[in-house]
Amino acid sequence: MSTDRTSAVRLAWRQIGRSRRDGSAWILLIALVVAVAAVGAVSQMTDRVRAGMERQGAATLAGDLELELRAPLDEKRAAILDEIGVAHHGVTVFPSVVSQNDDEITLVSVKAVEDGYPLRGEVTLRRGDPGSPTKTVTRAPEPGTAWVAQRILDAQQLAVGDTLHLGDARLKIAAVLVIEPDRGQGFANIAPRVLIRDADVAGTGLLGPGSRANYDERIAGEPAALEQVRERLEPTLQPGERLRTPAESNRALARALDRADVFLDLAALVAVVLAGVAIALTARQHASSRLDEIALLKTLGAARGLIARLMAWQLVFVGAIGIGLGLLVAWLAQLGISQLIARAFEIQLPTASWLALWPAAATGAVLLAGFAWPALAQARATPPARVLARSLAEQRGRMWLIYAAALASVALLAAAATRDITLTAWVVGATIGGTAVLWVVALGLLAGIDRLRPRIGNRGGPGLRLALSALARRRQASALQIVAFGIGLTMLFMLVIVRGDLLAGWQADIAADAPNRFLINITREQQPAVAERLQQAGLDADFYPLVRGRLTAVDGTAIEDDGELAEQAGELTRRELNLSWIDDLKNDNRIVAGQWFDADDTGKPRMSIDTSVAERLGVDVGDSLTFDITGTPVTATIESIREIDWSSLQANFYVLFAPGVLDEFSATYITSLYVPDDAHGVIGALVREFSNISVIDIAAILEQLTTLIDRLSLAIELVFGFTLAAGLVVLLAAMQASRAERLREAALLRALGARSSWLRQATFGECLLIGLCASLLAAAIAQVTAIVLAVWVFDLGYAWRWPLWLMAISIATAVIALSGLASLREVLRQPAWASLRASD
Amino acid sequence: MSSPALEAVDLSKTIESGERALTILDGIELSLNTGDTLSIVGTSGSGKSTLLALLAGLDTPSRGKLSLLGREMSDLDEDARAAWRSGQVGFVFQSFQLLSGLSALDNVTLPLELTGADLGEARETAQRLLEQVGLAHRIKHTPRQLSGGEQQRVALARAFACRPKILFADEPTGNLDGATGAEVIDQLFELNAEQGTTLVLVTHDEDLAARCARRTRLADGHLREH
Repeated sequence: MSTDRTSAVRLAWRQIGRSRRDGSAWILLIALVVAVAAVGAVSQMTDRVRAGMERQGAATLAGDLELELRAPLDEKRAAILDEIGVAHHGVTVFPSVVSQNDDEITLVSVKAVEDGYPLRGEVTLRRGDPGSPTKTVTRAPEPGTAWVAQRILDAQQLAVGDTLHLGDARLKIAAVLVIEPDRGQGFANIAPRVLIRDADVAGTGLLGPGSRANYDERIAGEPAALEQVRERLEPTLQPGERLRTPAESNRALARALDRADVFLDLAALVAVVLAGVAIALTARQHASSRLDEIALLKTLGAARGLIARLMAWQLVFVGAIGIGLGLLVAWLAQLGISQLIARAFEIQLPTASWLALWPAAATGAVLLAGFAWPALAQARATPPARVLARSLAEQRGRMWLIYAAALASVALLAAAATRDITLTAWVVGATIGGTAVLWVVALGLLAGIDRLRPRIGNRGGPGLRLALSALARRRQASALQIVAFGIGLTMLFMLVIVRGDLLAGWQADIAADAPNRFLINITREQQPAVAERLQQAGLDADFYPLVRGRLTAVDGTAIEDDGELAEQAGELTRRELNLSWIDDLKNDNRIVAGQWFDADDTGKPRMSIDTSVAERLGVDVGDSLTFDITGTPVTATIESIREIDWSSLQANFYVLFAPGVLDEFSATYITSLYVPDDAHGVIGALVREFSNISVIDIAAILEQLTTLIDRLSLAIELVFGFTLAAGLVVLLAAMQASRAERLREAALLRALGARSSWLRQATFGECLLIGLCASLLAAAIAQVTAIVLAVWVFDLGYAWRWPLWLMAISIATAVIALSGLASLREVLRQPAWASLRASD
Repeated sequence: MSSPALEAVDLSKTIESGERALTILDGIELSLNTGDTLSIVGTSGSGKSTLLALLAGLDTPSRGKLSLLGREMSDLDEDARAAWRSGQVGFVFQSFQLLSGLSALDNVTLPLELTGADLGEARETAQRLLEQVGLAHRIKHTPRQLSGGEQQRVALARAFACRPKILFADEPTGNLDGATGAEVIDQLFELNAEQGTTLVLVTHDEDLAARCARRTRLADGHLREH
């Protein structure tokens, strides 16, 4: 290393030591620490919250992965799982009947599980009558015993302790099965459950060659191991076999997780933008505070090269200290918060990795290099004569290229941290657009205030007059502050709205009156009578006709003749599908291609299918599907493709025919309805009157979803709280940027005879107006952006929330005004003379 | 005769420097009548600026009493002293102390605004004063765009804007070259004579000091009159 270079490093290090009393260096350092800490903590936290949520989701599958099979797991693949070291066990589900006495036959769904069930989640059991206390266990039933759904006990007049006749086996009923974690949704498993041990299956004699049974292997393990499972098992999958995550197997959960995921990413992005604003604000100030030093060094004979190196090294030292401290804070914050998360999700989270903090460190480095270095590099050109005349200021070069490059780098980093390019593009685009709008409107507002000033004249007292004159005279600086606060507040406001929408959307999903019972098997003749009984009881119910049919051909090609097509279609061909028809499109359905039926379509062979069916079969509008309905082939053209919101828990159908097409087939009716606790008798009476009608109770599923969403909401609140805190700290740092100027001004005004109360009023008034302008503009921009986000990204409806706005604007304005006032305390504490000398 | 414009009795200032107490000013006695011009000279570090701050009520003495424009300062707090100064006391600083974000005109208007004057009238007064110091063409410029001499002339205009009864000047030429300094001083004395202001001028420049009617020297914390 050359002497010159060494001296630059040494000099830089000493200067850092000396700049302890330099306010701008401190602010830059604080902004950097906050930036790195916020990005680090939020991204760490989102990772862990995400892990927590996935675990929570895993409970709905009683495992992290589900391997859908056509036969019990073969030894080869079992060996692969064992080799990877994940926990796994098989689950067999098959239909059967229970008939204790010959009068009553109850269709049941038998589920046989191995020791170790459930890998995730817990089973809720009850020993006594309905309403008696329940308990949760995380184990399988003992061999020779069964856990049985209440419906079976009622139908067969059995009780806990009795013996259940299941095929040839005699099993002791050990408990009532209240909730099994992996019950799943939909109508596939509508028969009441009998949960038994795998060892007892053979004894029933119910499973032989050709029996209809579903075989699943449930797998649980660490994310890395699961990834390995995917890699190694996917190539071994045979037609009809599938590997699924909880999200893939549970659509309501998938939607909730997706939205939470986007929100968490948004929170991390906001942290990056806020940090960028703070650093950009403080870096310029820091650079201009270096001007005298540079001029002096030049006078003493330092060449431009040396000065450049000196500046660079100073930045490296500030960066190293700031990023190091920021990472430390992030680490400590996430330690504390992961405790909270672990408690909320009742799980042990894997330790976070330091490596995962790299986007935070890189963000800090890019922000510093992108925003602080250009200003410093420019300061390098300071003429030495500045030592004699301070008015010889820095020349302004063309900085926009550098700033644009810095912005682009930050955007890339944000995209890397969130792995969501679309969202990042939205946020960056909105930031740039918002900044431009803020700048123009802020200048306009300030010009307006200047015009009003003479009219207010002496009426407002010296405080108000000083505040208005400060605003009007420092128009550029005030506009800059409005823009800075505006961007920060826009981000925070947006997060507030989106968070509210998200929580409200979830609440709507699990609304108190979400359907908790399905009535099925209602004949066409019974339907009017059933509808009347329900209406008399004050229960709302929509009835849908239902005809069952098996998919046999796609565009005229028989599925059984086409192996590839059969593989694609999977379970769509293995079981009969529920086919229905309705006149009007339901609220929880949305057309994504084609047109909904009109009056002309009635009776014509047209159909509307769900997106998942279209994707699976690779069909589009205009293609045709053929169903076998009680031996008669029915072919219809696809007129539209619908996206169904399964989280509504309403009755929905993959395939809807145009009204009139299926009239010739005998249909049954289905309805979903909310039955309050005190109206159970109505349903009981209905079932007694029409004995063929079956009732499906989905209250347990609903309860599980509610628990999950409650926990997701808590996670969202935690992350939001942190971003909000980070945003506030960054806002305060931005406020600090104008502090030195305010101090000097206040000191001078005091020397000239201004009273403390005037100064307080003036500063409060000025900051209040800046805060008000910033928060009003931010509210307007955030409102527009939030509508766009809600409708396009989160797929939620939007509601205006005036009280929220009123509160957000008041709080933001008050915080800005009070922090301005706080910065004045220092100057009011010491004699005017001391403040003036200090600023000399 | 009316009460003196300024009267200091046994004015002393001691500061704690580490474990030792350092006496900067010790028993200063001074009385100024309205319209007097007084210079205080002394070497660097003799405590000239500290004395000026005490006399102007910008700082508080460790001991002694000060009466400014007939008002006892010792029993007033910082705010009350500021209120008393408002519109009555003017300042000229060595480093100008102009507000960088404000134009020359706005800098001069500032003290008038503090007294609650009408904005339009205040601006007229400020403009007239700036014309008087030869800056008619630069009223829209900010301090950054002005030379040192021009900045100090703006400071002069600001100091006289309220027609103060007493003006404190702290090394007004300290940051200016000889010729520029002389011009500024000429303008200062011109305005001073015109408004009949009492003047306290701190300087290390003997020639400048000689332009005041009364001359004092500060050494070892004591003030001696020539």
